[in-house]
Amino acid sequence: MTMLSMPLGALSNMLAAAEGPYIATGEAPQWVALMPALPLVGAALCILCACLNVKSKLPGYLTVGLLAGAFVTALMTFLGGTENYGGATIFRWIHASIGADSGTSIVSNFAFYIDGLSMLWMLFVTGLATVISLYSTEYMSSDKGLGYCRFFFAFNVFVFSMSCLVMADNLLLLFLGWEGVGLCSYLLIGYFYKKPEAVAAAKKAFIITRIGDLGLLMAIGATFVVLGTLEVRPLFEMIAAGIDANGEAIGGTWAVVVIPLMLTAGAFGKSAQLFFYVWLPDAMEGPTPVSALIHAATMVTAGVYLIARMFPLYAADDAMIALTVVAWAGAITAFWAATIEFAQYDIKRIMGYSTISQLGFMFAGLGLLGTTGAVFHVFTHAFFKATLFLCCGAVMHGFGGQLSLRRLSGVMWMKGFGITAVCMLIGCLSLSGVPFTAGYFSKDMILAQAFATPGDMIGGSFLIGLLLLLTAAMTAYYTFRVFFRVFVGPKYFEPGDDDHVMTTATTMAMVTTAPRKSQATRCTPASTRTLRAGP
Amino acid sequence: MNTAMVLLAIGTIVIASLYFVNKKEDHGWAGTMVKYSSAAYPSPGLGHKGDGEKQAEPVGLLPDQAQPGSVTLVSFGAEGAVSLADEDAAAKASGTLFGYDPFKIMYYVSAVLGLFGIIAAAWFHGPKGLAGLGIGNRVEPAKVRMDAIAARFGPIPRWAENKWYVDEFYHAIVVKPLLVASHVFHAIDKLVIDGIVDLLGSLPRFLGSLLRPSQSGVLHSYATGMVAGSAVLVALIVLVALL
Repeated sequence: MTMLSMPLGALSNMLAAAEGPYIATGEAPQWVALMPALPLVGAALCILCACLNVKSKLPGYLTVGLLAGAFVTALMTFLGGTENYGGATIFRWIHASIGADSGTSIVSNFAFYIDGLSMLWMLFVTGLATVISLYSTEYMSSDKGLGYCRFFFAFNVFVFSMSCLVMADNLLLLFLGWEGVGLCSYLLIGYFYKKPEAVAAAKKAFIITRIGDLGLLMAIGATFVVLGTLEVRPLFEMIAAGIDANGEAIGGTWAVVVIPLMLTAGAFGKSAQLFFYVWLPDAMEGPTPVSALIHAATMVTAGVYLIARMFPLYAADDAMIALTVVAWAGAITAFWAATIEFAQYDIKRIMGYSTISQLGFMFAGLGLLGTTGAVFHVFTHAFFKATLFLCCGAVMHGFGGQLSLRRLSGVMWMKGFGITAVCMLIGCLSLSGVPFTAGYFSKDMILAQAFATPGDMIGGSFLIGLLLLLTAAMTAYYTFRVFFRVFVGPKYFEPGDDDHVMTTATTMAMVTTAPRKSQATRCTPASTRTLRAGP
Repeated sequence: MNTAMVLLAIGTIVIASLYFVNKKEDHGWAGTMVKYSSAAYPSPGLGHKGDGEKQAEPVGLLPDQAQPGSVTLVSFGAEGAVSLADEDAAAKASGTLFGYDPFKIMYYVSAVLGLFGIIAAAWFHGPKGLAGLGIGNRVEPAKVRMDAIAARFGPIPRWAENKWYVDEFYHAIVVKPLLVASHVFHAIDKLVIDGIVDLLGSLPRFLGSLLRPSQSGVLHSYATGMVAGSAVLVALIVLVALL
């Protein structure tokens, strides 16, 4: 490479940037297809279970097993290192042509593209999906039967769609996954379809994300018109070379400004940013595992993924217009959501707003040109927010759907909630950015990036940094507001009306959160009395 | 359920160490992953070192490090970077936080802010005793110091609890107009579109009602019609032949 002869390292870095992004040119092993295929098998088995009227936890355990298989596949692909990075064509999907010129024929294979970004996403998507499905087998057990099958069917289809989205070799397959996760989100938010709020929330989520999806669809169309292909590798090569399908320079044209802005609209819809955030707090009507997996850890980060995936196109604009929009939108959303959280009393909703706020951090990180910080924050956030949601779910399950900050106190000292409280504390510390936690390191990178990126590249980056710092302090406050009120202090609770978990006996649920399985046998009115008399 | 929670909590703790994986070369494990992806980008003040290259200087040089004639990154993009020997431009390449490298100073700044937030939460909401870090004073489940503070802000906390009425705002500017518009369009659909369609639909029926009497089954009238028709046809042929 010529750059090695350059005297200054900075210059070679520059040339590396000018040469464009890393493009994995190799061949990925065909078995990466197992990552989406295993959940698809799981979905089929769930349908079979529903047809056979299975009333046990079988669909749940099947899901856990198959998702674990998908996770192992992801892990093996990851451990194979960069040699596994590349494309893998599974089958011919769409080959259409109306002429010989470029831009008149379209090739979209059902093919996967594995690189660092898709690998990182697949690791936490499959990993968290496995753990959360394990949790769901217990959480959803009050609804065994058809509902249980329906839940795990949608859960599996979600993981399948998310895998397609993340590993897509072309934008059409990405769009398929994008709509697939949107559909599963709709199905799972509206899981309790007899509850009007849940149905309304499902429709709201579906419609609002669809508005953003229009932007994504238009971006895909415009990309095809301008660059003549939808496959990511040729796209990146063209962007790196700075030319469009006709060999003309794309720098400074409308394409590098408008296409990223349209992509951004899609990303904002999916990731609940700026004007589109209103659906995410309502989405908390879904079962808590769904909130943990889809509306905290994975699906809502699809917007971040989209921008990171198409980052070469964003960076092709010298004026960085789209990235400035992304940065400001992220910072404003982060702050805005944090102000709402100050006065919320529903712990799940607080976590929902906190997700919006943290996604704002990620978008700000991307917009501020700090892709590493943003991607790392996606990764760490997926873990600690999923932890927090599962703990909220345990509390909710234990107290008959009670979620109010005012009606719960000292949960940590109650029988069976010690582990929940400790896990919650770990999640809270990480979310608050207490030193040496995962959230601390990842948030730091974004915050520092705001000050490292000069204002003449991203307009007002210093102000964004100050806004984010303020939001970081607010995050710590609202997170520990929940912890100090719900988990410590005098023991007190009022059971909820139970419509979230739909169990008849609150105490049944109470016992399922107990640390040992043997305690399930103690599900007697007597233990209920001791529990209630305790505080 | 607890198994899953504990697994995730352990995961949350463990992944913090990923920050130190490949710290020097790539700024953490995530940096390594990003380096081999489309999101690879020489972030100002951070910079991704190219694959297989030697350890390079930081992309963004701090003002005191920038030397005359040094080349630094001032512009990114597909067209290639512009190299400038200008010292001022070099100083601009990477911002600083009051003269410090943001990536170093932020460890302290964000830690202080995070701890400050937690202490504020403990003061306003924490229970009395050690669990409230010794500064909380909550003894009843739902009575906290924050209540008095919130009362001073008048209606603002209520507004915040109602999410700044954004949903209501959207309902007013998006949902309501759409509902009204859809009613209007429904009326237009009923009156204009259906009117035209119904009109067109009623035409054959009207024509049919005109022609129906001719099919009366009376053979005399059929024979008369046939003769009249033949007469007209013959007349036409004769006319054409003559012209």
